[in-house]
Amino acid sequence: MLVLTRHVHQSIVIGHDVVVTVLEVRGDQVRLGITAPKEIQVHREEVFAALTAANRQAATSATSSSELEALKALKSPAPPDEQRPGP
Amino acid sequence: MTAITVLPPTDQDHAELHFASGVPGFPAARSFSVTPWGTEPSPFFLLECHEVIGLRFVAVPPAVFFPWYEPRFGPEVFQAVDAEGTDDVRVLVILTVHSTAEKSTANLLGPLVVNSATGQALQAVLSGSGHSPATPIVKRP
Repeated sequence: MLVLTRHVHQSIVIGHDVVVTVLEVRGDQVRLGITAPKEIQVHREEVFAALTAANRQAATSATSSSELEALKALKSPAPPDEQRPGP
Repeated sequence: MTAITVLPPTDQDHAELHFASGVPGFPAARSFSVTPWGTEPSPFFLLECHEVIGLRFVAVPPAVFFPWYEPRFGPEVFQAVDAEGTDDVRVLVILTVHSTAEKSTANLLGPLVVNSATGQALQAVLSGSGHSPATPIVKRP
């Protein structure tokens, strides 16, 4: 791993056009500003891992006609309260 | 942040999706064809990848199962698909379909945002929304 030391308001450049700037250091938290081309998505690592896992799982979906019929039978149920995220 | 109307795709919508930044977990996946799943009318779509042979997703307009779902997107999401705003995009969610509907889930954390005129698409992330990437589509007993 490459290790660099930066002060607040200093940046690093990744490739030609990704710039990461240290905005603020407070206790054990660091705020970073990132500019990148729009085709480069920037994620928190744990969120990216969650999406990766969900997509890999989804790619194993069963797609035979029996699953389709089961889903169609379910269409438009009343909104189940417990699906909602908490406040 | 803008609330978005979650409408199903219409006949005029693009039948090809292009993800300029790929899809998490499948970095090579860029373009997908979109076809209705099944021969009879249904709200379900099959997304079949051109680059990764055999990669397919089942997707559905979220209103089919989650009428209360109101994803809010920042301007960077619209920019990424070259859309002006909510009127130009459609939202789909990816399903993980199991043998029984009770075990099947939807990814409400990472909805697909599609420019309905051009097919440019992005898997957005609703960070901090509390939505799960594996939300059951039916209430568990």
